[in-house]
Formats: sequence, C-alpha cells, structure tokens
Amino acid sequence: MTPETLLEKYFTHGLTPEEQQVLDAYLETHPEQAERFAEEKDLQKALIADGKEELRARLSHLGKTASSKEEEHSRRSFIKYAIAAAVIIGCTLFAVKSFGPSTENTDRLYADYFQPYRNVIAPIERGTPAVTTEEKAFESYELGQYQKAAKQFEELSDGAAVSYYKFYRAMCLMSLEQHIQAVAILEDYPRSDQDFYDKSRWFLALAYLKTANKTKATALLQSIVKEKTYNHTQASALLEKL
Amino acid sequence: MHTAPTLEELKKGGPKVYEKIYTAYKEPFYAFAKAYTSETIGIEEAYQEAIISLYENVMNRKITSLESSLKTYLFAIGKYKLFGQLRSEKRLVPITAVELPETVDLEEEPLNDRQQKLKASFRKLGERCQQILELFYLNGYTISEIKDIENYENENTVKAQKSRCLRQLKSLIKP
Repeated sequence: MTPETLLEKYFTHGLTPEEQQVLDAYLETHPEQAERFAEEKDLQKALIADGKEELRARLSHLGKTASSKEEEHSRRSFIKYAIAAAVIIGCTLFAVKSFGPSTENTDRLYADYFQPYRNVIAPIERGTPAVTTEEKAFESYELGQYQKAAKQFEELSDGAAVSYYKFYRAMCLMSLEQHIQAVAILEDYPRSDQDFYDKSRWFLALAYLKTANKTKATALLQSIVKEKTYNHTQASALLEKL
Repeated sequence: MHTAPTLEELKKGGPKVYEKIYTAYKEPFYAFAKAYTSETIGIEEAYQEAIISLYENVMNRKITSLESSLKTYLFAIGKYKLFGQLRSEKRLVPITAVELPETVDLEEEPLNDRQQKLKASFRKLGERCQQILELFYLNGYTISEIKDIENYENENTVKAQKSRCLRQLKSLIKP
C-alpha cells in the first residue's frame, strides 16, 4: 500500500495496527506530510465534535418528545382511545380505497430525507451564553425548541435586512409538522439570497411531499437535479423512489 | 428498525441513523437499566450519552468492524455510562468492571485551539467545500466514491478540489 493509500484509508476506514506502524514510519521521515496529516486529523476531530453537538440536540429533543407523548397517552382512558383509533382506521381505509395510493410512502420518504438545516449563522459555543436576540433564537433552534425558535425567528424577520430568519423559521415549522405554513414561506423565498434560496428549494420539495403535492415536489426535484443545486444527489435518489 | 445498521450505514447515514437506533433500543435499554436504578432521568442521560459515544467511536474509526452486535456495543457503553453516573451520585454499583469492546474509547478530550478554530470556521466555507470535506473526513467516503456521488470528472479532480478547500479553510483560521 502506498503512503497516499494509507493516508486515505486512515480517514475513510481506519488502519490496522500493522498499517498504522507503516504510516507512522513514513511520517517520521516526511515532516511536511506529517504536518499536513496533523492538520487533517484536527479537521476530522472538529467535524466529529460538530456532529456530536447536533446529535446531542436531536436526541434531547427526541427524549422530550417521547416523554411528553407518554404522559399524554397515560391520561386517556383505554375505551376512548380504542374508539378514536377505530374511527381513524376506518376513515383512512376508506380514503385509501377511494382516492388511490396512500400517503404512507411519501411520509416515509419525507422522514428519511428531512433534517432541519444546520445553524450556520450563529453557531453556539457550549459554555458561552447566548446574548443577542439572534444568538438566543439559534440557541433555541439547536436545542430543538422549535416552537420557541419559530416565534423568535418570526420576530427577527420583521424589518430584517437578511432573509435567512425566514428560512430557519420554515425549518422550525417543518419540524413541528406545520408544513402548509412552511410552504408559504419557502415559496416566497427571495432569489437575491442565492445561498439560502438554493437550500429553500430542497426543503420546499420535501414540504410539498407532506402537503400531498407530489406533482410540484417532482417538478422541483427534477429542476434541482438538472441545475445541480443544493442536495442534487439526494434529490436524484428521492426522485427514483417517488 | 428490523435489522441493525451496518458499520458503513453508521458512518455515512448521518444523525438519522442514530435517531433510529435511539428509538429501536430505548425500551430494552430501560428494561436493562431498571435493574440498577429506577430514576428515568439518569437512565435517559446514560442512554443518550451511549449513542453519542457510539457515534464518536464510529466516526473516529475506532470501531472498524462490528464484531459483536450493535446492541452489545451500545449496551456495554450504556452500562459504563450508567455506572459512572451512579458512582458520581455515591450510589452502590456492582463491583465487576464493565467490559467494553476492545477498540472503544470513552475518554472525552476537549478540542485544542486549532480544532476549535476549524470548527468555528468550517461553516464559512462554500457549500461545495463543506460537502466534499464532510464526505471524506466525517463520513469516510473514498475519493472514488466521492467522484461518483458528486459527478466529478475523475479522481484527480476530486483530490484537487479537496486540496483547494483545505487551503481555503486554512486561510480562514490564520490569525
């Protein structure tokens, strides 16, 4: 294995102890390469730390959602729940039979592809309190407090020179399953903010799926693939499944 | 989740995979942990930290193969976290040491200065650079795989783009 191959394998699959020894011996005699390698390892650590923070926030949100759902459920009587479930199932079966393909597939695809877009405006440093209104809004967002964050972004949007508060508000609304409102924001997202405009189209396509607008979703995804804009690879994969 | 994700899926699947793991194994973990404590807050914390440690060890390439089942890894880490928590609360825990899989590392090292700067500056890169660097350094896609996913002309083009992005990032963190 060449040093270049070993270096690639280090970052992609990890090395066996024997391979690590060979790499270490090579780096000892190639200080410039060793310095570059150290910088790349630092980058990997930084990206993992970033990913950990995001995962921590998501799991925290999942945990809170699960426990509040459990409390809600225990308050209902069994008989009321059973009757409600029977009525819902009956109506759903009727709708499926009458109106063609169910929404189960699109709901599942949405769940597989939707992730609220990362906070790239005001990343929150652990241990550093949020001070400005913007920082507080993004702190709420990173903690998965979407109801609170949506309101904060709405207030920030009023009269703001930048458009991305609207984008992040849409992310909150999608996380809260309020897709009709999210569609309204994303459809109107200004082209002048090119970076977030490209992203808004991806999320708009997903929101169309959730509002049973498969035709619009398909057309938008095709456009994203053709223009190779944000998430075009995922758009292509999603189109194959639709 | 009917089948546990593979190691490749754990590396490349993003947070979604770990959310699915969380949901799939939560009930069995709680059942297991209730033998040691009845406090659900503590169990929940240990469980979430176990999943985060699993993520870290996969992404650090410390776990290079799943020799035991995913559940075995997760529960071993979770037990370690739970016992650590109980000890810090001066609660009694079984004397037998928790056996962790050999390659798993649960030491939490804070980021050094350069790592902090890289983390803070990374999102200032353009989308294309963020994508290529994450695919390689975080998700472990090879140059060849990146060429195919991102429709680059050839592997040399990928390498050149990656080098440009690294130089750009380096210039962002220079004082």
